[in-house]
Amino acid sequence: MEDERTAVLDPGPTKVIGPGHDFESVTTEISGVVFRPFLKTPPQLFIGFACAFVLVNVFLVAVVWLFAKGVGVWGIRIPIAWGFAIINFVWWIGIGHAGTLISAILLLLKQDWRTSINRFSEAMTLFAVACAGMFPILHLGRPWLAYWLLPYPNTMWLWPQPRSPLIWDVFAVSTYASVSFLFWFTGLIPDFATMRDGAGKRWSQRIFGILAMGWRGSAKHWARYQKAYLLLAGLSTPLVVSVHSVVSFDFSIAILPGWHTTIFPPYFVAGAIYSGFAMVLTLAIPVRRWYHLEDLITMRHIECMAKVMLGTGLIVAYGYGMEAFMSWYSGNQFERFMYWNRAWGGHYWWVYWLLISCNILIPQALWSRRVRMNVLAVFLLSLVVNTGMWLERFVIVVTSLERDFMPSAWGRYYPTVWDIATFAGTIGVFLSLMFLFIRGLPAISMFEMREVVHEEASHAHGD
Amino acid sequence: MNPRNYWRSFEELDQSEEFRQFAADEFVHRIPAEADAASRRKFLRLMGASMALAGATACTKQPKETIVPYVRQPEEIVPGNPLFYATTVTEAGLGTGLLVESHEGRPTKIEGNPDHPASLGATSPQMQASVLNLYDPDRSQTVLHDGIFDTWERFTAAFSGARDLAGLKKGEGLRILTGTVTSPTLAAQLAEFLEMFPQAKWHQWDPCGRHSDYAGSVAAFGAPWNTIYHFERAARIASFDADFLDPASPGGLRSTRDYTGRRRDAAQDPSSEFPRLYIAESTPSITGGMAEHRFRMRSREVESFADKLMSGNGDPYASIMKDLNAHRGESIVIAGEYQIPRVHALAHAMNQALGNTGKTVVYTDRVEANPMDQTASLAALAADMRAGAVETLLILGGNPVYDAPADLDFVGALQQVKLRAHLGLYANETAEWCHWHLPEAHYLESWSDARAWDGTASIVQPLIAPIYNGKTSHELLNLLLNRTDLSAHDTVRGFWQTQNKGADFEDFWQISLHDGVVAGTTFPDKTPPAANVPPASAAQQTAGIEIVFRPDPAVGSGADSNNGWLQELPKPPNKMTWENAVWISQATAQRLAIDTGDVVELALNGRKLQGAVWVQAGQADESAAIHFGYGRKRAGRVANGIGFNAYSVRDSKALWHGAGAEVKRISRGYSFATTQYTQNMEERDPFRVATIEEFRARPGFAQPEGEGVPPPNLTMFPMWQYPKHKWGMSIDLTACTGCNACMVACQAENNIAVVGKEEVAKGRHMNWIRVDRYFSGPASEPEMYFQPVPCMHCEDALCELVCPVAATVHSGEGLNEMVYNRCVGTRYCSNNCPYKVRRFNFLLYSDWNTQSLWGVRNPDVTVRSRGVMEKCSYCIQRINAAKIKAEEQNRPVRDGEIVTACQQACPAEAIVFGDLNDPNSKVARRKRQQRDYGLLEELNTHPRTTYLARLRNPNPEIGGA
Amino acid sequence: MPEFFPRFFSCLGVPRSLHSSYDPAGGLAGSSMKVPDPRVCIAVHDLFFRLTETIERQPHPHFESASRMQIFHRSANSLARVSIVAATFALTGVLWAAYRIDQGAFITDVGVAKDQPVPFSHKHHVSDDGIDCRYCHTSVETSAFAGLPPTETCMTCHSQIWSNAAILEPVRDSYRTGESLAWTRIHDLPDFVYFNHSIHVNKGIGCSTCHGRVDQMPLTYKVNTLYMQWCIECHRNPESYVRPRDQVFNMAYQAPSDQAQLGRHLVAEYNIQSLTDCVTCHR
Repeated sequence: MEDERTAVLDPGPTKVIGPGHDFESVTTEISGVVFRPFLKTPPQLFIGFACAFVLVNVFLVAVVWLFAKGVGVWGIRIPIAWGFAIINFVWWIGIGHAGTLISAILLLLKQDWRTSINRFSEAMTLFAVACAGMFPILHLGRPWLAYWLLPYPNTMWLWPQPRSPLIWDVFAVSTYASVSFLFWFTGLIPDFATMRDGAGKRWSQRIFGILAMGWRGSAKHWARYQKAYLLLAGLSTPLVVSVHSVVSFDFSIAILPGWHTTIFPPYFVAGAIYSGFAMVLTLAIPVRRWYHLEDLITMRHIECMAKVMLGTGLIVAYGYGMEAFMSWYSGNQFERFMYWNRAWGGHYWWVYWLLISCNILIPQALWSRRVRMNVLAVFLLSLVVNTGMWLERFVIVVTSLERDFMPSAWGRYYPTVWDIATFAGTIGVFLSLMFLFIRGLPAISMFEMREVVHEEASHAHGD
Repeated sequence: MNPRNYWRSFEELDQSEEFRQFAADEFVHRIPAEADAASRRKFLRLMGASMALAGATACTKQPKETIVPYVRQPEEIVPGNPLFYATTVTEAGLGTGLLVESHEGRPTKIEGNPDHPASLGATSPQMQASVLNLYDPDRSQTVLHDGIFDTWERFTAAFSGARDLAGLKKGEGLRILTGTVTSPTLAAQLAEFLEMFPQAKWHQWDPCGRHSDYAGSVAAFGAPWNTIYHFERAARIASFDADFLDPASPGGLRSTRDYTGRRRDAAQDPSSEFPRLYIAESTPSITGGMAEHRFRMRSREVESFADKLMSGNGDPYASIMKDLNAHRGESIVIAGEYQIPRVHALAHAMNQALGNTGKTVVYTDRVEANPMDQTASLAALAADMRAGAVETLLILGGNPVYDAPADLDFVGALQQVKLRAHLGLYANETAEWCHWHLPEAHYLESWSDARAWDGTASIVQPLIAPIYNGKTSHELLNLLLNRTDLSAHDTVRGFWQTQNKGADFEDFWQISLHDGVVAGTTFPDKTPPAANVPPASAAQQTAGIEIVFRPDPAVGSGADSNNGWLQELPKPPNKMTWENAVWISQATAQRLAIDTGDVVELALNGRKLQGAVWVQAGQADESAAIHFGYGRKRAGRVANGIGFNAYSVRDSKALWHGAGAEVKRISRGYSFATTQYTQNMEERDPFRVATIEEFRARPGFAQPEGEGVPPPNLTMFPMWQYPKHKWGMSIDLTACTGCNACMVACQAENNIAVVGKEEVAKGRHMNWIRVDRYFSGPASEPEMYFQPVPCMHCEDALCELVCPVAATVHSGEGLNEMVYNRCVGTRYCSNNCPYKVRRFNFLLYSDWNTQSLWGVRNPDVTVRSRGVMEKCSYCIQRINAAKIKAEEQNRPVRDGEIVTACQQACPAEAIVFGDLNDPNSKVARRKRQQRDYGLLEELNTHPRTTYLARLRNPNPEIGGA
Repeated sequence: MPEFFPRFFSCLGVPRSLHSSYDPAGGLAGSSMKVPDPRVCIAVHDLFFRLTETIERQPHPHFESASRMQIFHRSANSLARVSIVAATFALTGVLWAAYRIDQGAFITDVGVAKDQPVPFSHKHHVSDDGIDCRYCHTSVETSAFAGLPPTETCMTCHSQIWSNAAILEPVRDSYRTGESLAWTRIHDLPDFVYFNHSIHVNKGIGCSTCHGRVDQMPLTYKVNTLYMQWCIECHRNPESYVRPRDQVFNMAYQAPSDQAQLGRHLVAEYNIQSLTDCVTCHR
């Protein structure tokens, strides 16, 4: 079978699916990943999961220590009262953007190349948002009281304070998480049915059977399904924009120079999509290779995503430019100092330039088609962009806080080992979930691929 | 034991089993009745963690709590209402009157006694912190015999024997070593003792006493005189290294009040002349910070400065002398303790020449009971001991083994003594070398008396019975006088009975206790003979670096070292905490190619010590300042093993500065914990200053011109009106000297936790009011400015906007409330606070385990838990108390009825708090002054705390001012 | 896909047929394919028929021929439906229970008499002997703390009467040894709540308003939760609770019918402010 797979070659940048595919072969190839006997799982997957799982345990240790001692185990201090926790939160939320964007917006824009990567990126979104969602709670001084941020009737006759962006966050993120989940799950139902029917063992039949919720593929089911899917797409489209706008309010509402900026919402959203696509590539490229899915995730997909990265990257670059310009144009002493401090005078000036190179300079390579067509290059670039986007949040959070209004209160931020452990830990959580997903569920939408096959076929007939 | 972990749980404090054993033992079984009583009254809310947490998580069942009433309730006590008692604290023998707040027999807060001349209601940081030493778990708690627990009875038995033995030889070989004694009662007892044992000797030693002051007056007048300066009458002041604004210096609180009072008045009305201060000093002091003209020089060069000034030739001496002459009779020339006697003599002579004597400078008898050259006295004792002439030595207080000049080799000598007994608050280094150690009663546990720097006597009365059965010097002398049954109270009372025989003694006694001042005991002024100036001392060797010795700005001579509040108090010039350092100037640092954080070895007269270098702006070149009070070995778990012991290179022949030291680097990369990293104002103007001329020319200078500053009510919404009260605060930067008294007062009043060096280094210190220090002008000759920064209580508070759970909100009276029990700890408020005055409990900083420390807590303020934000509340507990009192009496709150802790402690009266709705309130009147400005007003936060800009009055004839 | 939508939705024109094609018996039954009603648009029929057929006609090696067997019993249908409803009810139930427990005596101790060193009866001392509250709670008018009587106070009477009653032994013992009696707190606020008796009493809030008819309690218990909402209720509209000052210690006091009007009057007369600032109680 392996040979047969390797025989199927990447059809190149024009096609979204390899030649010679019919409904069966698509279904088999995708479900095969799941139905493969446990020991036939590609070794890379085992190794990858092992590493990720180690990090999960690091995460657990870090969190236990955190809860035992308090947030003081981190490097935060006055005046830098927010550190890694918030940086990671924003970073993960940003990564969580690609899923919905690909699924919803590209669906409405009828981009057929989304098909083979949407399921995948939706799952990524879910796990990223899960990681992101942990941080706002972890970073509380008294995390056991996190529920006070929810409006619920209580014996104190108190409600949350609606003017605080953190309250908006609670709603924005939870809404985004739930809608993303629905979207992902709805998309899975027909495939669950297929899996159910394909499953050999009784227990897996039952599990997939329950998940399939009685899907029989009747015309009525398809009707309902398409309607629901379309509605969800419409529902989550504004979310793509809203979530990160709200997250950006956490900063832009504050008076701090470097935070108090009206350009934040659009440029945060762009940045989010930027990092989101980067992460999809980071994950898709290895999987594609390990499972020999080159004919389903084709160069076409990779190039399209590379183009999206290039585009959003340019928007982000514009954002940086505007920040610099406005700080000068405002004529405000504090704003000007902020930028000088960020780029030249401050402790972390080098981080700023690192970020500029990661997010602006290096990705310009994507203009060249040869780079876009080079899988390895694109993979490395996606890593660079992910790093850059994390650094961006670091620069925004830390350098702005280190030196604000009162010189006497200035300080310097040093992350501790626990900061790093917590961050690395969430990466572990994310990857483990991702590996489990790839192994346990159809990582590519089978029925949609069948549609694609159908399209191809009808095209062939048509002309 | 690691001092940095101070005030966390015992587990963290010290892992050693025996220590925990000891602790448990001490606090449970061995606990004396009074401490028991304190811990008994649990309705005082001494119960910490469980309760707070229980309430914090809304629907948790409250744990069982018991109410334990008195068996027989003292009638003056109304449970829940504090009482105030007048008493006296002594520093280097000199008394300062206090009013101490007591909650059901638990002294919790020190305030100054407004009726006492040395205080006038103000207190120094050390006084504020002294209440913490009372409850210090490291205090000496039992009699020790050769380091083993023993009993008072066994000691009396043993010591009576020695006494009787000495008695046979008329007391030969019997010696007593005390600190400076001003207590009339103790003096009488000692006199009686010397009568009974004519061969016995009484020695005195105070490491930071008034040595040069004594010697100086002897040099000038041939006999000891006591000098008192009236700064309120002085328009021109020339200081020879005199740090007279240091609240710990003799009469320092009073000098600060008088001097700053005149500055405030002069800023108000143009008719009165604004005082001008010249100072020549080697290391930056807060007095130097207030000076119009600061002449930076090595300590030993001050003598020639004084000589040149007296001659009045050359620049700038001519112009200074001209200035002083223009103000004959209303100028002061003052020499500092840190100068040699001859400089003092010069100062006395100049004051006489300027006709200041009797006007701004008055003389009285010495206030010490037996003034003597203490250095000589200690040297004599050491010599005798080494000669084996001393059989029995009784050390009353003090710690000579730690703080005696190194050349005396006190420890070596001490070991020649057959019987050595030490009375002390701590079983310190000296106790270690004594056969017997006796726990001393804290002054809040003692009956005694003392004289102030002007001779005014006042009674020391206890607020609580000795927690650890400590004894006073009086009781020990009674033992020597074979009156073991006579209590300290009876001794003191008995002495004063001899002073006024008469039927009305009872009234006199009660009034003296109540007022905290014994009426009519202030020494009368006397006119001294013409001062003669001894010939200039032989030219000293000037090679090498000069070492300048100073008591530490926070922990002083080292007696108070084991005190977290003082350890964490930033030293004014560099905001360093938790240790001392070798201060050197930039130029010297460059010459020696060393930098801050380098560890150097100081070699002075063959003695060496190692310390980390701090490059200090304003420090004299080729001069290194080191501070006492550190390098303790047996101070307690707070102070043990931090910093270095400066006494170890101190020489009895050059007490305050020694020449010819070598400095060489040993290693690099030592890190300090300072509370402020930025030295200057970064082209911003948080601190606004102008000369008196500029001010007269443009009174509104503090208000930035037009552009950038929004009009006070630039908002889309109607400004909130505050119908009832409108609390506000005004801080006068012209008066503030930066002495830090406000910081400790706030810490004591508001149960603010101590966090330790590591946490301070991480910028996690908890003080609600910080004193910012800015340098301006050239790095070598900077001006030093201090600015206290509490919460501004902005009317449009940015912190309130961003708190998701409404844990910080605005009250109807304009207070920016911080509700700990609602706080979940997002820290967003701190990020959004442009003043960064919010403090966060990153870890569990409050000590909920050390039972003895529960006693010092203010029951009216919540003890904060881990993970909550906290900040200045304008002392809301005091506001509420006053409002309730007023409501019950059906009257409005009077102006001045509410006094915040910082305001109360401030010796400069720089801080004023009150109701802005009352146009006649002190604070409203202050805010109407043209010097009034708010920090970062351009952010439109409408701060309720505003500042009065600093005014200076430099001499136009002198450049570089 | 692009032109797939129109084609698909065009088939939605004839709903009735779809209904008729629905067969509850099918339920979760395997993949037994229901061929859509022929009147449904041919394209859809064609597409979906092929989609599913392909899988079934040529099973993949992996695919055991599990296809047609029933995986679930048909009761699974109703189970699924019921479980949805059940879940909703369960959730509501849990929330309700939580609320009850929070309000219940276990948490609040309302109506729970705790055991004390001496079974002291307010009923006896107040109702029968007619002792005034302030005889024992001396500082209630002057201090935040109402005050608990020192043993002395008890002994003023009990050295004469019941001087050797067994239940009073702890009192005599305390008097003898000087060891205080340790009473269990009934009205127990968290440490971060600062309540002041004197101001409330002086502003005409009666003892019984918060403490209930203590004069009728053989053993003392609390009648109110002392929850913040309970405090706030009165702090927001004191006029409905305030009473004339001379009635403060009257345990039997009943609010008059014109309380609304009287309240407004007293609030004005006593200058009572509705203090709801956090720092009124928290500091």
